[in-house]
Amino acid sequence: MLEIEKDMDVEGSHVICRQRSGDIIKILDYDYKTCNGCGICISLCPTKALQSGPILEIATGLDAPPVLIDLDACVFCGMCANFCPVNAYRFTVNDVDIKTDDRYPRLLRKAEPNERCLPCTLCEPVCPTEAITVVFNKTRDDFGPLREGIEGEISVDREKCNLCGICARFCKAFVLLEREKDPRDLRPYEQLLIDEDLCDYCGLCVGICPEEAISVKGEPLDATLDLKGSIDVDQERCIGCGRCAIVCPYEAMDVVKPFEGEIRLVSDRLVKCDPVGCHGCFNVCPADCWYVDDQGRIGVVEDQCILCGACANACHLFGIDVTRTKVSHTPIKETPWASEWRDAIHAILTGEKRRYDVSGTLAPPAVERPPPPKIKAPERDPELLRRIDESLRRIDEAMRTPKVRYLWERAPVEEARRKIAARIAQEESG
Amino acid sequence: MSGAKFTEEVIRLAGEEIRTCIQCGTCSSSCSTAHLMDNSIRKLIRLVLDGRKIEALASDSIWLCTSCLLCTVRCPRGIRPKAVVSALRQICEREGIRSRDASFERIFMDQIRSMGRISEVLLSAAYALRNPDAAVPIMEMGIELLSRGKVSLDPGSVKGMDEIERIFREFENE
Amino acid sequence: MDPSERPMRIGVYICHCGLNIAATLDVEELRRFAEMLPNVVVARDIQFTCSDAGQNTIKSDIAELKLDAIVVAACSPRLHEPTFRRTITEAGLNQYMLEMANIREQCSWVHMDSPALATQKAKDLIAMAVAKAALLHPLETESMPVSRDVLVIGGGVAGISAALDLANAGLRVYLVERRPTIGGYMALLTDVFPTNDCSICVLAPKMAEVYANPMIKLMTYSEILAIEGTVGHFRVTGVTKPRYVDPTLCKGCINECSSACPVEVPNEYDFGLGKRKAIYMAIPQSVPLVACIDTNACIGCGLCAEACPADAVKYDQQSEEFKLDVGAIIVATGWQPFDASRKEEYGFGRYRDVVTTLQIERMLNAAGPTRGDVVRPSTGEIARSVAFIQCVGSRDQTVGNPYCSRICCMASLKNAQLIKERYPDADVSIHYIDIRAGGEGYEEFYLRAQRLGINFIRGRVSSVEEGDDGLYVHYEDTLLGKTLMKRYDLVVLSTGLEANSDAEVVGNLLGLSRRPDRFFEIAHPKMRPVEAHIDGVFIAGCASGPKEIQVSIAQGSAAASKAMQLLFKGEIELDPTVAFVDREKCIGCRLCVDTCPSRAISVKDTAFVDEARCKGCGTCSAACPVDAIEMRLFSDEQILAQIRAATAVKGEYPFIVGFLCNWCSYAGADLAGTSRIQYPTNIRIIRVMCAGRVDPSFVLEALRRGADGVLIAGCRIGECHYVSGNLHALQRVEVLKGLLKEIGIDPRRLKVAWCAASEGDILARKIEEFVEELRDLGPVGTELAAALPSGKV
Repeated sequence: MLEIEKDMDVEGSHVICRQRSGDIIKILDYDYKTCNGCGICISLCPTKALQSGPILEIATGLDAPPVLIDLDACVFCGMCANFCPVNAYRFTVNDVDIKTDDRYPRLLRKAEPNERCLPCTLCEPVCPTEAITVVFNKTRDDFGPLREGIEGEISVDREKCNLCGICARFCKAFVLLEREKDPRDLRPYEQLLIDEDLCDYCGLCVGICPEEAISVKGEPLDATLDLKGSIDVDQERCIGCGRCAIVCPYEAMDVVKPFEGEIRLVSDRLVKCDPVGCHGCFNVCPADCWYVDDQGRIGVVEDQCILCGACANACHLFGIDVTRTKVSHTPIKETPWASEWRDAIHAILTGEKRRYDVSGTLAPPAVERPPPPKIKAPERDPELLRRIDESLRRIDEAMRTPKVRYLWERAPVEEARRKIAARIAQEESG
Repeated sequence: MSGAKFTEEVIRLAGEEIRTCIQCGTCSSSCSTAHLMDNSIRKLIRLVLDGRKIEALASDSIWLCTSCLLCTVRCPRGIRPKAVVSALRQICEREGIRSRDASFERIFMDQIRSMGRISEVLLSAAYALRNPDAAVPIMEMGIELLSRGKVSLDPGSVKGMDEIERIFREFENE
Repeated sequence: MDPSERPMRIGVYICHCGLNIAATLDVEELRRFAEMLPNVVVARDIQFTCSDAGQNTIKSDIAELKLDAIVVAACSPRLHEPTFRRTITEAGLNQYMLEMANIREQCSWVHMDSPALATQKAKDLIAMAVAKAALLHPLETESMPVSRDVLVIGGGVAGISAALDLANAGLRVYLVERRPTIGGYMALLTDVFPTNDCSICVLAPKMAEVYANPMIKLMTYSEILAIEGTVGHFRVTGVTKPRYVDPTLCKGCINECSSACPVEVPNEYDFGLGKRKAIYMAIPQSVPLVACIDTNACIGCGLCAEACPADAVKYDQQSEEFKLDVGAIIVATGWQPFDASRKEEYGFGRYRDVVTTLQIERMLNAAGPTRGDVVRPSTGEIARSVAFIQCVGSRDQTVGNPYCSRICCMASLKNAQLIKERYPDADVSIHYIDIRAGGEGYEEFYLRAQRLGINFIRGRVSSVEEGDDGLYVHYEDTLLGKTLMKRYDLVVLSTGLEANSDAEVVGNLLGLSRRPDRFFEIAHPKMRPVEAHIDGVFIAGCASGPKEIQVSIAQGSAAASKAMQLLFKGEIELDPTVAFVDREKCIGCRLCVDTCPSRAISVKDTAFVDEARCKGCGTCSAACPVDAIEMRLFSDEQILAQIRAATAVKGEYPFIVGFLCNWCSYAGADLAGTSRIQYPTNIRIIRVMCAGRVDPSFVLEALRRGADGVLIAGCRIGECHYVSGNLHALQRVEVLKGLLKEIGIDPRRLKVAWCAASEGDILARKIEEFVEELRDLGPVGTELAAALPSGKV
């Protein structure tokens, strides 16, 4: 019989559940700091092992896990991990992440740069989960120190410049002024300034500007610049909000969003909304898509919303409605569990998971068997046995005579006894 | 009306299905007033099918039916026992056979005709006058109800009295 | 002698059928009439034509008078045509030189109140038969080799019995079962009546035998997807669903995997009383003894695979399709229990202590969820008082089940006895309407129950209510004449049997017809108890209605023996009544290819009929624009001759010519006869194989010759025995109606009716309605006279 053991540990913000069965160790690692309390895992858990924590309080600052795990009920299926929109769970089987196992469907969302990507730097700062990294192979420093005493002019055509930030990464002479973050206008920079103290009019920047917005007069440096950038999107962190694609001036980012549907503010209920004081929706939103408008009312940029629904849970006024109509997921293979997982995906849309109720069933009474009593074999006396044998032999002899057997079968019982006994006695004496 | 004719007449009024009665008693045990009846609804149907007109029409049970229709909903043979009761009431009415309690129906109808609605006070009073036995308990309850404001002495009025009169005429002409 | 060389010599035999015919019809008058008909050489009336004496008369006439064709005016050809075909074959005539006039089912029995009009109708029917007989041709039958394999659908006790009998006789059997194990409901029962012996103890050896028999290929967890072809060669496609357990590796230990499985679901094999895991074995005696993963519950944790010591759990198993070629099919798809929650007044599903018969069977079963204890599910305590409520979902029109489920009385008697034996102090009552204990040893079984002290209360329960201390049952004790209420710990609803809704797919694939009670209809309610309407298809067990175990077993064996009869020869005779093409006339338009429901026609220059495939419906012949496709029996000229003979004398008004399909509507008309349902005499019925056989020209010919109306009746839509013949008929009629209207003839003179073989009353009512409608329309042509200026008619 397979022995199954479970235990639970807390390490920092991680709740770590382990199940050991034979050689297999399954680990469900829940990072409650990453979790934003959207509750999708709660609605799809097949055994109701996940319960909601004090979401309203957490949204406004309480340090507590938004999801509580009932270890006894958890069956370590991994559904929660595969459909968490913010990657708060990591589920491994002998250190292999379930997300690499194609037999189980998982939530699909990604951002992938296409061939139009230069890359520039715009998407990097707007990513709410810091999943994007852009690096360039060269900077101005690679071409030696600034040359002394060179006169020249440098200017940027503000009409052409789209503040893509490549020049600033290359050379310290360019300084980007950052804007205040606002989902309504994602562009990260307000202005490009030039610190001419740091410029020796080498002219290398002219060639790297994709919009040909920089012009330099002076003594160009005799060097060829082969500036190459590379962009990396960490799909493990990406939540598919699409901010990178929105900010990109080159339509160079292809995004798959996790859900289709709608987010709606119910204005009737939001009369008492105090966005500055409460800020719950802002705090839980993984895509940073909330803002406060000029009149002091909250608003959400729908294009950037991933429809996780955490804000709806966090709003004590019930003023936010999130409805999902479709879940992006990897294909569901024909497996024994296909139906349950399909139902879990369905639960993300409807909030209703099929669960079997066995509370009313009868179970056969447990039969407790007392341990069998110890038996002590009685001792046997060989002498006694020998005597018994001796006695019985007297009959043995008689039985072999047809006459005796005839009496035995046919004569009246008393007569038979008498005659056979007489015969035995007679033989012994004779 | 002979026994056989009586059976036919009830069947004409209440439906052919009556013939298929299996005397299972679902109707009687569904009946909310069965405990007050001398003959259960089931037995009434048996009396009808056996042509026992006098016994059937003399039965108090006919007048105790509250028309809740539970019998009709539950009958496994699709019989409408309530319709049988109605048929028997109709035949009683036609033949002038009236058990004591029929006076209530008459008072009830008269009030509807004259006022367009029922006044609990007037209805009880009129009933008590014709049934002196019942007068004392009715009065006792009436006083109690009046004192608590549960019934009103003013019967009120309704619109469309002419329409009500027309319905009565139409029925009488039939 | 070739009949074309000299005028046809016909003998007419009019049957008295005792008084069945002679009491209504003037048989002597009919005989005199027949004698005068063209080609008739001899006309006789006979007491019982089907008797040896009657048959011998026909035989000697054939020899002495050199008759070429025989007309027997008697009962329905659906009853005795085979008898008389044999008779004339013995006398040297080709069996197809016979025509019958149906003057019993469709005349004397349905017009008992109007003997004169009925006699006139009979005359017409005889004249029609003689006219057709004059145009009969000898037909030769050919035979075709058949598959000797048999498909048994359903692994309950009936299917098991059929499969074993067939396999022991040396035929190969494919036994297809939808569930993961065979055994059906019987495998779940506790002791069975009337002997109170243990159900599984007698069934399990049979189940094992099925598994071990090399002639049986057992396919559990499988379903039928498609059935094509006909008797001798049914081509069957099915699918075996994945169990996700390798049957060759699984040892059937079940404990290892299921104890590891974390998912619990209510156990459907305990009818929800107990629970099981997502990997499970239906019953300990499952055959095959292989675990199965419930795909509606598995969440994919992988523990069972890890726990299995034999590595038998295979998550990558796929469903597998299979194809079979079988000669015969036995449908043993069984039943389903009535859903007791539909009787809301009994509270099943609301009150936990209200259970069903099947649940109490599981409770009493030592292998069940309580290990044989009878408990109140709400408390788990032993029930000290138990009520059985009979007729739940049976004999109840409010739930659409007017029929008696036949086994519930005995089942409750048995369960009551078991409870009383186990708990002698328990108060056990049976609330019944009638106790039906008809069967060997059944009444004695009832007696035994009475002697055990079981309380029998006559009166159907009206409602069950839950109180603080138990369940309150409301009823009238109809023998005491008192309405009462009684308290019980446990209430058992004796739920009835319903047609298995899961079998609908198979029924539709095979084209089986259903009775109004939704069970599959057998070919004859008395004489052919295990045959379906479709050749080569047999029905056994509860698929054709509620039955006890012993009857189901008998039916399984009967169906097996019928299949053996059919297949042992290894070949079957082909019906020669198929279509053939006059290649001179055919213009290769392919219309026939599109209309043929059996896909038996192909065109290469001219059309060609695959006679093995053709089922003889005649839809092609009716569609052919140049009359190039003809039927060997029911030919155009024969039917036209019948129309002309019918209308030769317009015996009454309104006068209707009816075309009734052999399978449903003609059978329905016969049923109206056997049920003595009376309808007007105004119709002359012509039998065709299918409503699709009716050529628009037949309708025109009838109207032209003075028929006031034409009725075309076929199987109900969706139930055509040729799949789509009635749809073609409907299409044709709809078009023709438009055309009639166009030329000024009232389209209401043409009527279609769909009726099942079981709907004799519906057909009779349709005819009645039609007669009334036509009476309103006036004689045929009235509408033309009205439209034209007077004097021009």
